[in-house]
Amino acid sequence: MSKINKYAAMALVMLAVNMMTACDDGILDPAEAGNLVPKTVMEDAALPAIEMNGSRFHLETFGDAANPVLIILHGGPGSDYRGLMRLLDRYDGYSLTDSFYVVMWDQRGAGLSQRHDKDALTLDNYREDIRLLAERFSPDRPVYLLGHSWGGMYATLMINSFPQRVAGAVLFEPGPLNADFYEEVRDDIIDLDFFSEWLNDWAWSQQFFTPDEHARMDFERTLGARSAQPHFHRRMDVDPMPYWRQGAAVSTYLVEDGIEDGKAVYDFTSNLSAFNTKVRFVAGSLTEVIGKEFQQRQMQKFPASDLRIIDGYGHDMVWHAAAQSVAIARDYFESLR
Amino acid sequence: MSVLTRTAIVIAFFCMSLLFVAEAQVYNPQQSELGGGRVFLSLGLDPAVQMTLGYSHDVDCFNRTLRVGYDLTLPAGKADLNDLRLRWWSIAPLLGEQDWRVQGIIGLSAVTTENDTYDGISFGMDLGAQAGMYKPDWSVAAEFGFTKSMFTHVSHNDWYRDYIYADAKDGWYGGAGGVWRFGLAASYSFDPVDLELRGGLRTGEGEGMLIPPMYLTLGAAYNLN
Repeated sequence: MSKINKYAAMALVMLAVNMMTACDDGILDPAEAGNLVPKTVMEDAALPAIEMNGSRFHLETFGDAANPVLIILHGGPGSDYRGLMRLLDRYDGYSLTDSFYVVMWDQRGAGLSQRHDKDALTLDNYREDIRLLAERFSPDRPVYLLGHSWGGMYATLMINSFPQRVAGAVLFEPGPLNADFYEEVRDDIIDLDFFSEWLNDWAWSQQFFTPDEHARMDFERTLGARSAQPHFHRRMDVDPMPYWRQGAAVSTYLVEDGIEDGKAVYDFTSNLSAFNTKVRFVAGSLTEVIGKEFQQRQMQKFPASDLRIIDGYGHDMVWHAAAQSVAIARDYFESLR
Repeated sequence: MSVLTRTAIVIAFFCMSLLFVAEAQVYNPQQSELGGGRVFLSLGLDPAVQMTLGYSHDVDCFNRTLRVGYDLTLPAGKADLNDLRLRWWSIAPLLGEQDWRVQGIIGLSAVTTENDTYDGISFGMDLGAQAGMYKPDWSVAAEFGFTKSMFTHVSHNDWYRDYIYADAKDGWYGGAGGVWRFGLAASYSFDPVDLELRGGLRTGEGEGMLIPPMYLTLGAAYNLN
């Protein structure tokens, strides 16, 4: 080896050593929760949590436990309740906690709740989770539900499965409630322009990180958070609806559980005729895919329903228009009493 | 890590890899079968929608003819140089003499990115093999390979910290990614132009599925001699 190549070899070794010592923490482990993504309730004992149905859930309660129970259901599937926290603020002297004992939780495999592999991420488990949650916090009387996006679908799944356990529900732009509705919008859910910056950033990033376990899967999912759904989410550069940690596995496998041979087969509406309480739908006037017209057809699946529109806002109205969202929910809940 | 620092590291890495290649060239250049060089351009999906420009030439090393190359890859999307990959690679015959051959591939790469979540630079290594039939005018071979991201430096950006995870840790991550690929590589020569087609499946090291799960590139090379 010539002298110059010896120097080159030494320089390469020095570069490698420099890389390894450039950070006080040394070489970081991408699989370790807390590095790329936050710790879940499995790694951080300080997070509020409950055990249920073979899993551990990130969960908080707010208000007087003597009040009727209101369960808040976040979107995704796979997101978390951080983006719904403004619904607990006080607007015009009123907070939902004045009337309800509010349960905020990250669903199975989502947010800061325990991660699971594919076998545990099924609609059957989700159905059992919410039944047990209602049983735990409100064993003697039916619960109220407030769901956003996938959370509205989840609320409908609960109503369809256990109609006697639900006292009322507000659904903020629920996603497709059955396979027919899903097939109608499936191509518009994600912006799959093969020359777009976000999609190529996503693929390009696999030369840095590959989604080999939950921490990296969840981290990869953040690459699409800002730009992948331009027809749903607005204000993504200023005050976007935040979250703690996406559950990539649940957002993949729970959707797959409702699909066979590439075609959606699920139906959350088959038993809605057993639920005679009026359900309130809410849509943002700016939502392009599952907005007013789409919800007007979905609400027909319920025996009794109405629809409220929040002008000037899109799919994330529960964050950007939290005051209007709370006012609409309050008006609905008071109408039931 | 600033863009300037990342760029400097990539340039240093690339220059040093050239020095090592220079030693292979001077080992025994007279025994090179093909001699000269070739420039090439490929377009396709691997892993992003991308374009690769490169140069390769044949050198002799320990009585074997190696093909060594350098290439620059840019993905689709914004027209800037925040996302790019520089790679040095070599293909060497391992087994076989005439039509049927097995060839080994080794490569080193430096990749940069700037996305909604982080700015990064990663140094990786490619290992692989091709086995198939090589005729004077055409070839077809099965190929497999493994690309490992060995050291990755990440600086999480403000958007990620403000709206998702404020305490994300910046620094060097070790062994953060690995991609297996299995596919076919074929070529046809219209001297002095060669057309090359490669395609197959990609998978990671763990549970999560890569998107896209396949690669497909079409390339053209021009032989300078």
